[in-house]
Amino acid sequence: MRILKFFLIPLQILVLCIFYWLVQQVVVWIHIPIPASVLGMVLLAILLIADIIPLHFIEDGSQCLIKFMPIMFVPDGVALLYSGDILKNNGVMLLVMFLISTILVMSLTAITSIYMQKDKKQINNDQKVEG
Amino acid sequence: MGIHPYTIGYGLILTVSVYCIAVWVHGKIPSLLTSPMILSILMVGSVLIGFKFPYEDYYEGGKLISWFLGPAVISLAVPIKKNVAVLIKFKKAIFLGTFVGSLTAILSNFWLFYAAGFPPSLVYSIVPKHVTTPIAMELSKIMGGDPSITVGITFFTGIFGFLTVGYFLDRFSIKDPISRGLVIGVSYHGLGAVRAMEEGELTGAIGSIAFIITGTITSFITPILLIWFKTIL
Repeated sequence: MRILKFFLIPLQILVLCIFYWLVQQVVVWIHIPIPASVLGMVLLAILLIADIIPLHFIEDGSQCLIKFMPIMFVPDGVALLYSGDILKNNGVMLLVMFLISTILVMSLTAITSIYMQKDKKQINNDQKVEG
Repeated sequence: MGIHPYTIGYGLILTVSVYCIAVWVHGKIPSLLTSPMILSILMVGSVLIGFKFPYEDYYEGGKLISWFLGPAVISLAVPIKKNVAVLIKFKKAIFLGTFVGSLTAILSNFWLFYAAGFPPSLVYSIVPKHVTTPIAMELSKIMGGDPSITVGITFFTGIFGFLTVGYFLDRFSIKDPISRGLVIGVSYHGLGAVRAMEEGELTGAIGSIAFIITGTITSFITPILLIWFKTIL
Protein backbone atom coordinates (compact mmCIF):
# COMPACT_ATOMS: atom_id res chain seq x y z
CA MET A 1 0.00 0.00 0.00
CA ARG A 2 2.81 2.36 0.91
CA ILE A 3 4.65 1.54 -2.31
CA LEU A 4 1.48 2.15 -4.26
CA LYS A 5 1.14 5.61 -2.66
CA PHE A 6 4.77 6.34 -3.51
CA PHE A 7 3.87 6.07 -7.19
CA LEU A 8 0.35 7.45 -6.95
CA ILE A 9 1.21 10.83 -5.45
CA PRO A 10 3.63 11.91 -8.25
CA LEU A 11 1.15 10.60 -10.81
CA GLN A 12 -1.71 12.61 -9.29
CA ILE A 13 0.50 15.71 -9.15
CA LEU A 14 1.36 15.19 -12.81
CA VAL A 15 -2.34 15.01 -13.66
CA LEU A 16 -3.00 18.26 -11.76
CA CYS A 17 -0.06 19.92 -13.57
CA ILE A 18 -1.36 18.87 -16.99
CA PHE A 19 -4.82 20.09 -16.02
CA TYR A 20 -3.34 23.47 -14.97
CA TRP A 21 -1.38 23.69 -18.22
CA LEU A 22 -4.51 23.02 -20.27
CA VAL A 23 -6.54 25.68 -18.43
CA GLN A 24 -3.63 28.08 -18.89
CA GLN A 25 -3.71 27.52 -22.67
CA VAL A 26 -7.46 28.18 -22.73
CA VAL A 27 -7.05 31.39 -20.68
CA VAL A 28 -4.34 32.65 -23.03
CA TRP A 29 -6.44 31.70 -26.03
CA ILE A 30 -9.64 33.49 -24.96
CA HIS A 31 -7.82 36.42 -23.29
CA ILE A 32 -9.61 36.60 -19.94
CA PRO A 33 -7.77 38.45 -17.16
CA ILE A 34 -8.58 35.82 -14.51
CA PRO A 35 -5.86 33.58 -13.02
CA ALA A 36 -5.85 30.17 -14.77
CA SER A 37 -5.28 28.49 -11.41
CA VAL A 38 -8.54 29.92 -9.99
CA LEU A 39 -10.55 28.86 -13.04
CA GLY A 40 -9.00 25.40 -12.80
CA MET A 41 -9.89 25.21 -9.12
CA VAL A 42 -13.52 26.17 -9.75
CA LEU A 43 -13.73 23.63 -12.57
CA LEU A 44 -12.21 20.85 -10.45
CA ALA A 45 -14.48 21.73 -7.50
CA ILE A 46 -17.52 21.38 -9.78
CA LEU A 47 -16.25 18.05 -11.14
CA LEU A 48 -15.63 16.77 -7.60
CA ILE A 49 -18.94 17.98 -6.15
CA ALA A 50 -20.88 16.53 -9.11
CA ASP A 51 -19.06 13.22 -8.45
CA ILE A 52 -17.71 13.15 -12.00
CA ILE A 53 -14.19 12.76 -10.58
CA PRO A 54 -13.95 10.68 -7.38
CA LEU A 55 -12.09 12.46 -4.58
CA HIS A 56 -9.52 9.69 -4.07
CA PHE A 57 -8.29 10.08 -7.68
CA ILE A 58 -6.46 13.27 -6.74
CA GLU A 59 -6.69 13.61 -2.96
CA ASP A 60 -3.18 12.60 -1.88
CA GLY A 61 -1.47 14.50 -4.67
CA SER A 62 -3.46 17.66 -3.88
CA GLN A 63 -2.67 17.44 -0.21
CA CYS A 64 1.02 17.07 -1.04
CA LEU A 65 0.93 20.20 -3.24
CA ILE A 66 -0.88 22.21 -0.54
CA LYS A 67 1.56 21.01 2.11
CA PHE A 68 4.58 22.17 0.11
CA MET A 69 3.09 25.53 -0.87
CA PRO A 70 5.47 27.54 1.36
CA ILE A 71 8.54 26.56 -0.72
CA MET A 72 6.82 27.84 -3.86
CA PHE A 73 6.71 31.39 -2.46
CA VAL A 74 10.46 31.47 -1.87
CA PRO A 75 11.73 32.41 -5.37
CA ASP A 76 9.42 35.45 -5.58
CA GLY A 77 9.78 36.22 -1.89
CA VAL A 78 13.53 36.61 -2.27
CA ALA A 79 12.96 39.61 -4.57
CA LEU A 80 11.39 41.33 -1.56
CA LEU A 81 14.90 41.72 -0.12
CA TYR A 82 15.78 43.87 -3.16
CA SER A 83 12.63 45.98 -3.12
CA GLY A 84 12.45 46.29 0.66
CA ASP A 85 13.35 50.00 0.52
CA ILE A 86 9.95 50.91 -0.93
CA LEU A 87 8.31 49.35 2.12
CA LYS A 88 10.82 50.74 4.63
CA ASN A 89 10.59 54.34 3.37
CA ASN A 90 6.80 54.35 3.67
CA GLY A 91 6.62 52.23 6.82
CA VAL A 92 4.38 54.36 9.08
CA MET A 93 1.88 55.32 6.38
CA LEU A 94 1.71 51.70 5.18
CA LEU A 95 1.01 50.48 8.70
CA VAL A 96 -1.75 53.05 9.33
CA MET A 97 -3.52 52.24 6.06
CA PHE A 98 -2.98 48.54 6.67
CA LEU A 99 -4.74 48.75 10.03
CA ILE A 100 -7.68 50.80 8.73
CA SER A 101 -8.32 48.54 5.73
CA THR A 102 -7.92 45.35 7.77
CA ILE A 103 -10.34 46.53 10.47
CA LEU A 104 -12.81 47.54 7.73
CA VAL A 105 -12.66 44.09 6.13
CA MET A 106 -13.11 42.31 9.46
CA SER A 107 -15.93 44.58 10.65
CA LEU A 108 -18.02 44.48 7.48
CA THR A 109 -17.64 40.71 7.19
CA ALA A 110 -18.62 40.34 10.85
CA ILE A 111 -21.64 42.65 10.50
CA THR A 112 -22.84 40.79 7.40
CA SER A 113 -22.47 37.41 9.04
CA ILE A 114 -24.10 38.45 12.33
CA TYR A 115 -26.97 40.01 10.39
CA MET A 116 -27.45 36.72 8.53
CA GLN A 117 -27.45 34.72 11.78
CA LYS A 118 -29.95 37.12 13.43
CA ASP A 119 -32.15 36.84 10.38
CA LYS A 120 -32.15 33.07 10.71
CA LYS A 121 -32.86 33.19 14.47
CA GLN A 122 -35.75 35.58 13.82
CA ILE A 123 -37.30 33.13 11.37
CA ASN A 124 -36.81 30.27 13.85
CA ASN A 125 -38.42 32.30 16.64
CA ASP A 126 -41.34 33.27 14.45
CA GLN A 127 -41.90 29.65 13.57
CA LYS A 128 -41.82 28.76 17.25
CA VAL A 129 -44.41 31.42 18.07
CA GLU A 130 -46.67 30.24 15.29
CA GLY A 131 -46.24 26.63 16.34
CA MET B 1 21.79 34.25 -22.47
CA GLY B 2 21.37 33.31 -18.85
CA ILE B 3 19.17 30.35 -19.71
CA HIS B 4 21.70 27.61 -19.27
CA PRO B 5 21.04 24.17 -17.77
CA TYR B 6 23.56 25.02 -15.07
CA THR B 7 21.72 28.24 -14.15
CA ILE B 8 18.39 26.45 -13.91
CA GLY B 9 19.88 23.68 -11.80
CA TYR B 10 21.43 26.08 -9.32
CA GLY B 11 18.20 27.97 -8.65
CA LEU B 12 16.37 24.70 -8.08
CA ILE B 13 18.99 23.06 -5.89
CA LEU B 14 19.60 26.18 -3.81
CA THR B 15 15.88 26.64 -3.08
CA VAL B 16 15.20 23.00 -2.25
CA SER B 17 18.26 22.50 -0.04
CA VAL B 18 17.71 25.77 1.83
CA TYR B 19 14.06 24.79 2.37
CA CYS B 20 15.10 21.44 3.84
CA ILE B 21 17.39 23.24 6.30
CA ALA B 22 14.57 25.67 7.14
CA VAL B 23 12.11 22.84 7.83
CA TRP B 24 14.70 21.22 10.12
CA VAL B 25 15.28 24.49 12.02
CA HIS B 26 11.52 25.03 12.31
CA GLY B 27 11.23 21.55 13.81
CA LYS B 28 13.85 22.42 16.43
CA ILE B 29 12.43 25.88 17.25
CA PRO B 30 8.73 25.86 16.33
CA SER B 31 7.53 29.46 16.08
CA LEU B 32 5.81 31.75 13.58
CA LEU B 33 9.11 33.61 13.19
CA THR B 34 10.97 30.47 12.11
CA SER B 35 8.38 29.61 9.45
CA PRO B 36 10.23 27.66 6.72
CA MET B 37 9.13 30.23 4.14
CA ILE B 38 10.61 33.24 5.96
CA LEU B 39 13.82 31.39 6.88
CA SER B 40 14.27 30.17 3.28
CA ILE B 41 13.74 33.65 1.83
CA LEU B 42 16.32 35.10 4.23
CA MET B 43 18.84 32.31 3.59
CA VAL B 44 18.52 32.33 -0.22
CA GLY B 45 18.72 36.14 -0.12
CA SER B 46 21.86 36.04 2.01
CA VAL B 47 23.53 33.62 -0.40
CA LEU B 48 22.61 35.72 -3.45
CA ILE B 49 23.62 39.04 -1.89
CA GLY B 50 26.67 37.59 -0.08
CA PHE B 51 28.15 35.98 -3.20
CA LYS B 52 26.85 38.75 -5.52
CA PHE B 53 24.89 36.23 -7.62
CA PRO B 54 22.36 38.04 -9.85
CA TYR B 55 18.75 37.44 -8.82
CA GLU B 56 17.68 37.00 -12.47
CA ASP B 57 19.93 33.93 -12.81
CA TYR B 58 18.58 32.45 -9.61
CA TYR B 59 15.00 33.03 -10.79
CA GLU B 60 15.57 30.97 -13.96
CA GLY B 61 15.52 27.91 -11.72
CA GLY B 62 13.32 29.40 -9.03
CA LYS B 63 10.42 30.06 -11.36
CA LEU B 64 10.14 26.32 -12.02
CA ILE B 65 9.31 25.95 -8.32
CA SER B 66 6.85 28.84 -8.19
CA TRP B 67 5.10 27.42 -11.28
CA PHE B 68 3.69 24.71 -9.02
CA LEU B 69 1.58 27.36 -7.25
CA GLY B 70 -0.85 26.91 -10.17
CA PRO B 71 -1.55 23.22 -9.53
CA ALA B 72 -1.45 23.96 -5.78
CA VAL B 73 -4.30 26.48 -6.13
CA ILE B 74 -6.23 23.95 -8.22
CA SER B 75 -5.76 21.50 -5.34
CA LEU B 76 -7.78 23.83 -3.09
CA ALA B 77 -10.84 22.25 -4.75
CA VAL B 78 -10.27 19.28 -2.42
CA PRO B 79 -11.00 21.11 0.88
CA ILE B 80 -14.10 22.58 -0.81
CA LYS B 81 -15.31 19.11 -1.75
CA LYS B 82 -14.59 17.79 1.75
CA ASN B 83 -16.57 20.60 3.42
CA VAL B 84 -19.35 20.74 0.84
CA ALA B 85 -21.99 19.78 3.44
CA VAL B 86 -21.08 22.81 5.58
CA LEU B 87 -20.96 24.99 2.47
CA ILE B 88 -24.48 24.00 1.44
CA LYS B 89 -25.87 24.30 4.97
CA PHE B 90 -24.62 27.87 5.46
CA LYS B 91 -24.45 28.92 1.82
CA LYS B 92 -26.26 32.24 2.24
CA ALA B 93 -24.06 33.48 5.10
CA ILE B 94 -20.89 32.18 3.42
CA PHE B 95 -21.54 33.68 -0.01
CA LEU B 96 -22.79 37.02 1.31
CA GLY B 97 -20.01 37.26 3.92
CA THR B 98 -17.21 36.42 1.47
CA PHE B 99 -18.68 38.73 -1.18
CA VAL B 100 -18.96 41.71 1.18
CA GLY B 101 -15.50 40.99 2.60
CA SER B 102 -13.87 40.66 -0.84
CA LEU B 103 -15.46 43.84 -2.14
CA THR B 104 -14.53 45.77 1.02
CA ALA B 105 -10.95 44.52 0.78
CA ILE B 106 -10.41 45.50 -2.86
CA LEU B 107 -12.09 48.90 -2.57
CA SER B 108 -10.66 49.92 0.81
CA ASN B 109 -7.15 48.81 -0.14
CA PHE B 110 -7.29 50.67 -3.41
CA TRP B 111 -8.73 53.92 -2.04
CA LEU B 112 -6.70 54.06 1.18
CA PHE B 113 -3.34 53.34 -0.42
CA TYR B 114 -4.17 55.57 -3.39
CA ALA B 115 -5.10 58.42 -1.02
CA ALA B 116 -1.80 57.88 0.83
CA GLY B 117 -0.06 58.80 -2.41
CA PHE B 118 1.73 55.52 -3.13
CA PRO B 119 2.87 54.79 -6.70
CA PRO B 120 0.42 52.69 -8.80
CA SER B 121 2.61 49.56 -8.84
CA LEU B 122 2.74 49.57 -5.03
CA VAL B 123 -1.02 50.15 -4.72
CA TYR B 124 -1.71 47.23 -7.09
CA SER B 125 0.71 45.03 -5.14
CA ILE B 126 -1.24 45.72 -1.95
CA VAL B 127 -4.85 45.50 -3.27
CA PRO B 128 -5.11 41.65 -3.07
CA LYS B 129 -3.52 41.41 0.41
CA HIS B 130 -6.45 39.54 2.02
CA VAL B 131 -6.61 36.62 -0.42
CA THR B 132 -4.47 33.51 -0.31
CA THR B 133 -0.89 34.29 -1.38
CA PRO B 134 -0.71 32.34 -4.69
CA ILE B 135 -3.93 33.96 -5.94
CA ALA B 136 -2.82 37.36 -4.60
CA MET B 137 0.40 37.06 -6.63
CA GLU B 138 -1.52 36.26 -9.82
CA LEU B 139 -3.89 39.20 -9.28
CA SER B 140 -0.96 41.49 -8.52
CA LYS B 141 0.65 40.48 -11.85
CA ILE B 142 -2.60 41.01 -13.76
CA MET B 143 -3.03 44.51 -12.31
CA GLY B 144 0.58 45.55 -12.82
CA GLY B 145 1.88 45.15 -9.29
CA ASP B 146 5.05 43.51 -8.03
CA PRO B 147 4.34 39.89 -6.94
CA SER B 148 7.28 39.87 -4.52
CA ILE B 149 5.84 42.81 -2.56
CA THR B 150 2.50 41.01 -2.63
CA VAL B 151 4.10 37.91 -1.07
CA GLY B 152 5.48 40.06 1.75
CA ILE B 153 2.33 42.09 2.47
CA THR B 154 -0.01 39.11 2.19
CA PHE B 155 2.12 37.04 4.53
CA PHE B 156 2.27 39.96 6.98
CA THR B 157 -1.53 40.23 6.83
CA GLY B 158 -1.86 36.52 7.64
CA ILE B 159 0.56 36.64 10.57
CA PHE B 160 -1.09 39.81 11.92
CA GLY B 161 -4.49 38.13 11.77
CA PHE B 162 -3.24 34.88 13.25
CA LEU B 163 -2.02 36.78 16.32
CA THR B 164 -4.76 39.40 16.76
CA VAL B 165 -8.05 38.11 15.34
CA GLY B 166 -8.97 36.29 18.55
CA TYR B 167 -8.74 39.56 20.47
CA PHE B 168 -10.90 41.38 17.90
CA LEU B 169 -13.59 38.70 17.92
CA ASP B 170 -13.72 38.51 21.73
CA ARG B 171 -13.67 42.32 22.10
CA PHE B 172 -16.86 42.55 20.04
CA SER B 173 -18.18 39.34 21.62
CA ILE B 174 -18.65 37.55 18.32
CA LYS B 175 -19.29 34.06 19.57
CA ASP B 176 -21.06 31.97 16.95
CA PRO B 177 -18.68 29.69 15.05
CA ILE B 178 -20.05 30.68 11.64
CA SER B 179 -19.28 34.38 12.07
CA ARG B 180 -15.91 33.64 13.67
CA GLY B 181 -14.92 31.27 10.85
CA LEU B 182 -16.09 33.75 8.22
CA VAL B 183 -14.24 36.75 9.69
CA ILE B 184 -11.03 34.75 10.11
CA GLY B 185 -11.19 33.09 6.67
CA VAL B 186 -12.22 36.17 4.70
CA SER B 187 -9.67 38.47 6.33
CA TYR B 188 -6.64 36.24 6.85
CA HIS B 189 -6.56 33.61 4.06
CA GLY B 190 -4.70 30.32 4.61
CA LEU B 191 -2.98 31.32 7.84
CA GLY B 192 -6.40 32.37 9.13
CA ALA B 193 -7.80 28.96 8.21
CA VAL B 194 -5.12 27.31 10.34
CA ARG B 195 -6.10 29.63 13.21
CA ALA B 196 -9.81 28.84 12.66
CA MET B 197 -9.13 25.09 12.87
CA GLU B 198 -7.74 25.62 16.38
CA GLU B 199 -11.19 26.82 17.47
CA GLY B 200 -13.04 23.68 16.44
CA GLU B 201 -14.32 21.65 13.56
CA LEU B 202 -17.13 23.93 12.36
CA THR B 203 -15.13 27.16 12.65
CA GLY B 204 -12.24 25.43 10.86
CA ALA B 205 -14.45 24.18 8.04
CA ILE B 206 -16.06 27.60 7.57
CA GLY B 207 -12.61 29.25 7.71
CA SER B 208 -11.24 26.97 4.96
CA ILE B 209 -14.26 27.43 2.72
CA ALA B 210 -14.27 31.19 3.34
CA PHE B 211 -10.66 31.79 2.37
CA ILE B 212 -10.93 29.75 -0.84
CA ILE B 213 -14.20 31.40 -1.91
CA THR B 214 -12.82 34.84 -1.03
CA GLY B 215 -9.87 34.14 -3.34
CA THR B 216 -12.24 33.04 -6.10
CA ILE B 217 -14.67 35.96 -5.78
CA THR B 218 -11.79 38.45 -5.62
CA SER B 219 -10.32 36.93 -8.80
CA PHE B 220 -13.58 37.49 -10.63
CA ILE B 221 -14.29 41.02 -9.30
CA THR B 222 -10.78 42.45 -9.55
CA PRO B 223 -10.49 42.49 -13.38
CA ILE B 224 -13.82 44.33 -13.56
CA LEU B 225 -12.88 46.91 -10.92
CA LEU B 226 -9.46 47.24 -12.55
CA ILE B 227 -11.07 48.90 -15.58
CA TRP B 228 -12.37 51.59 -13.21
CA PHE B 229 -9.10 51.81 -11.22
CA LYS B 230 -7.13 52.37 -14.45
CA THR B 231 -9.16 55.51 -15.17
CA ILE B 232 -8.11 56.90 -11.76
CA LEU B 233 -4.49 55.79 -11.44
